[in-house]
Amino acid sequence: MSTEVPEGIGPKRRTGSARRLGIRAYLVLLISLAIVAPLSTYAVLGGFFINSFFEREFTARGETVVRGVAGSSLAFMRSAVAVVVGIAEDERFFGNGDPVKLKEHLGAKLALHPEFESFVCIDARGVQIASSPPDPNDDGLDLSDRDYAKPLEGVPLVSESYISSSSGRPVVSISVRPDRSSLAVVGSLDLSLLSDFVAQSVGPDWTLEIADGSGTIIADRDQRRVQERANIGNLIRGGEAGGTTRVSMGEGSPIGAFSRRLGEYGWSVVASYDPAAFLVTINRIRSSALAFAILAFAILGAIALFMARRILGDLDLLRSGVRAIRDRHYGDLALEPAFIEFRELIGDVRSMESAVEEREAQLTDMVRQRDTLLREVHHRVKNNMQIISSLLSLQKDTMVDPEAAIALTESSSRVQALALVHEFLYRGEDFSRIRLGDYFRELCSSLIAAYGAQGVQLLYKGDPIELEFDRAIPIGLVMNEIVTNSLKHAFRGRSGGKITLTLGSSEEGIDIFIADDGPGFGSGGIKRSLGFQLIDSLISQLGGSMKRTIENGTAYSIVLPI
Amino acid sequence: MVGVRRRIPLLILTLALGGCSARTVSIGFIGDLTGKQSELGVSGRNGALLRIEQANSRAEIRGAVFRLVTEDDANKAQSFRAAVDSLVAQGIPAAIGPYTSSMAELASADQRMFFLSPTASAESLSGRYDMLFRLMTPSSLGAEALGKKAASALGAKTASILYDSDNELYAKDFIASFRASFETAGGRVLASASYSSSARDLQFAPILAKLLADRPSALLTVATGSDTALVIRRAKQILPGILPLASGWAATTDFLKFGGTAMDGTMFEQQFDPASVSPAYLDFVAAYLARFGSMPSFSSMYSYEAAGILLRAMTGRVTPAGIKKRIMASPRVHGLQADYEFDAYGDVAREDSVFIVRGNKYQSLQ
Repeated sequence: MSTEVPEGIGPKRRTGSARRLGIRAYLVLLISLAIVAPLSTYAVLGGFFINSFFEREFTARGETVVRGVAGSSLAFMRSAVAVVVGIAEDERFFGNGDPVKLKEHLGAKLALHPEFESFVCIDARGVQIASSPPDPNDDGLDLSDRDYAKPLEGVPLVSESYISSSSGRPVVSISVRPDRSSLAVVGSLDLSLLSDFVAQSVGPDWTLEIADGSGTIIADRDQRRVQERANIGNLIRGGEAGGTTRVSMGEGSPIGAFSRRLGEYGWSVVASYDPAAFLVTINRIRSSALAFAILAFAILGAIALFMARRILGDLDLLRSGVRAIRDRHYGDLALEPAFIEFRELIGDVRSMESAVEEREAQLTDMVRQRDTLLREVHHRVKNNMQIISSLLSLQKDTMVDPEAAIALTESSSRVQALALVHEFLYRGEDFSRIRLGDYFRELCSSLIAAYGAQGVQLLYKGDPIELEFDRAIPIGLVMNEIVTNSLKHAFRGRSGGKITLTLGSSEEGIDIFIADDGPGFGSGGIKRSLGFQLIDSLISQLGGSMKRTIENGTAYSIVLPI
Repeated sequence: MVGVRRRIPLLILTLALGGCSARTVSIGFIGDLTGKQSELGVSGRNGALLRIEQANSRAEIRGAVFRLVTEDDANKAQSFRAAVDSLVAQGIPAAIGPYTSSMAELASADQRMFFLSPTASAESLSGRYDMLFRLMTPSSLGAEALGKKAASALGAKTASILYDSDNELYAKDFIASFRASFETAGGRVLASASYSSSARDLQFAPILAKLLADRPSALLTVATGSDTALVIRRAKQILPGILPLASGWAATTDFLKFGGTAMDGTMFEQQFDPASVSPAYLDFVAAYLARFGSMPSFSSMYSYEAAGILLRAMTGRVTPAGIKKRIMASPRVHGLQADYEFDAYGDVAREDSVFIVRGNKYQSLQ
């Protein structure tokens, strides 16, 4: 008969070839991920997003800075040009061309505009006729071959930067010749003010420079670069006037810069983020990211280790609890697992434990009832057999015929032998087996008593061997026939004798040796009596073998298979 | 998403290249970079910078990136010593410079660094076994040629001399050679005067009025380009027709810039040939013009060559003496205009020529 197991009942099995991993393996994997995940996050953040962020931030700020400074620089220069134009167009002083008055006028203007290093006045021939402060090296000289001495009428001319021969500082000249005027005014603008303006335009992290058309720096927060005429022409080549260009700071520079050309003067504004400051900021963020990654790793690792210990601890508790149930130590499942899931599982195990304990109690009770019943049955069978044996004994006493009396006596002893088996069964612990040695000794003793052969001594030696109930009855009958036969014949004419009984076990089975010290069979040999027929038949039924020896008595060696 | 994909290889490349960064080799530079007389140093600094930028962009020396560490000596002894102290403190074993012979005299006595001066050309610096190598031959030969030319070919009978005492060593050597050859050729030096270019409120008019009072037929000026231009302009006003003579020191871009057409007729001695058609020189001029937006001076060219010599001698960890030894191991140099060779004292021999300014340009009189 086959039974179909409902779906969801019974162990679930994985399909496919997937390897089974224990919780420990998964925990190792989890801890590994706890290490790798924050480091990967750091690498991605540090290597990509931070750079990307700075790229965008830098670009936006750079464009804003150069655009703003370019506009302010133009305003600065337009203001300076307006100053020179204002001087040149003041007809009150330039009308008569008197050098003395011109010098006074230029001096007064110079006092009002300290951003100018000097003002000079050049006549139509290109000769310097007045200057403030006085310039004895050039006054009276024909300077017509100098660029700044030849402005077109009405068009202000701004020169390239150069080192002033009087002050040694970088200056630009602004030349203005008003319409229909024979005189030109040249103002030398001190560029150090432009540097001051640049210094105030942006934060300290930015390097901001203004270069003239040749690339020579004319304004820089670091005045030394202006004084030293540093040249950044390589950064500002190309690019349209008014447009902002991203430029390279050259080999080895980690970042770029931005350049914006001022169309009117050919100047360029170059803004670059100070590489050192840039790297400091980057490194600060990377350090923070690394610190965060390490912290995350530490927290994740700690949580993973904590969980691993708690889960494995709960599993160990659970396993010990289940083993206690297996070993019938009910009520020992006093577990307090850390996780809710394990608590629920422990609750289920406890329910199962209660059910098992209750079921076992029921079964124990049922077995006890069955034992009582069986004991009672065996007791009654034994009593009934004793009644039969007693009836046969009573019947024997009425027999006249000695053979009939003997037959009844033998039958009575046979029934008694059977009754003894049942007595052993209900007296014992196990209703299916009896202790063979005890049974044989009891059986022999009762037969000796029954035949009134008190002088016969039973010598027993044997191992503690148990035999099933259904095989005990035939062997008991066999023993009954052999001992009865010895009592009837072996000690005839003697007041005493010995019956030797040895019980042992070997590879072949149970070895039973029983012998008497009688005369053995006479010349008539063994008669085919009922007793011998029973012996042979029962031995055969048990699948055993028997060897009979007649020498200084009669001995039987019986081997029963296990 | 495309941007992300593009940046991943860039990121990998950046990380990969991050592990094999080149070694930075610092080359010192000491010159007069500020003030009225800074043209020599500034144009020299630009020439050296151009050579280093080219070396870096071409990766000429594998595994090395060069940088120029500049120090301003302001043509003053105290500043020069401070500049050397600064470079030595930074562990820089060699420097391009100094540029004037007065500063070169100090460098010759300093054993802490190896100096490669592009322009110092005083005769008295020759034949010294020191840590100073020079790229210009002593100017005495040029001064002799100039004196001889002025007296013989141009018929100058008398001459007066004005020089900048801030570079006295060079000036006196030059003047001595000029005077000897000029007088040998039949000329006569009437007067000599000096001034300090670093003096405040410097006025050339009274100096020249006194110096030219004897109406010499020629005026030799031994000064920077800008000062020489001012002097010649004023001298021509005082004494029209005077023959202007100048030392090679003045042959900078400032001279023509400040002097303009008034400098026509000025005679120079110089080892630098501004009209050279050497391919290497023309390439250099083109590169310099593109980089700095102006023409190079002799100081630019010699500094360019000096940087080329040093960047090859400074690979690996070297001492000042080691650099000197390396240069002397192969003393012949392929110059932009001509090859030359260092002698045992670190001096070179170059041809010196006489030039005249015509149409705001230098023309050879050879």
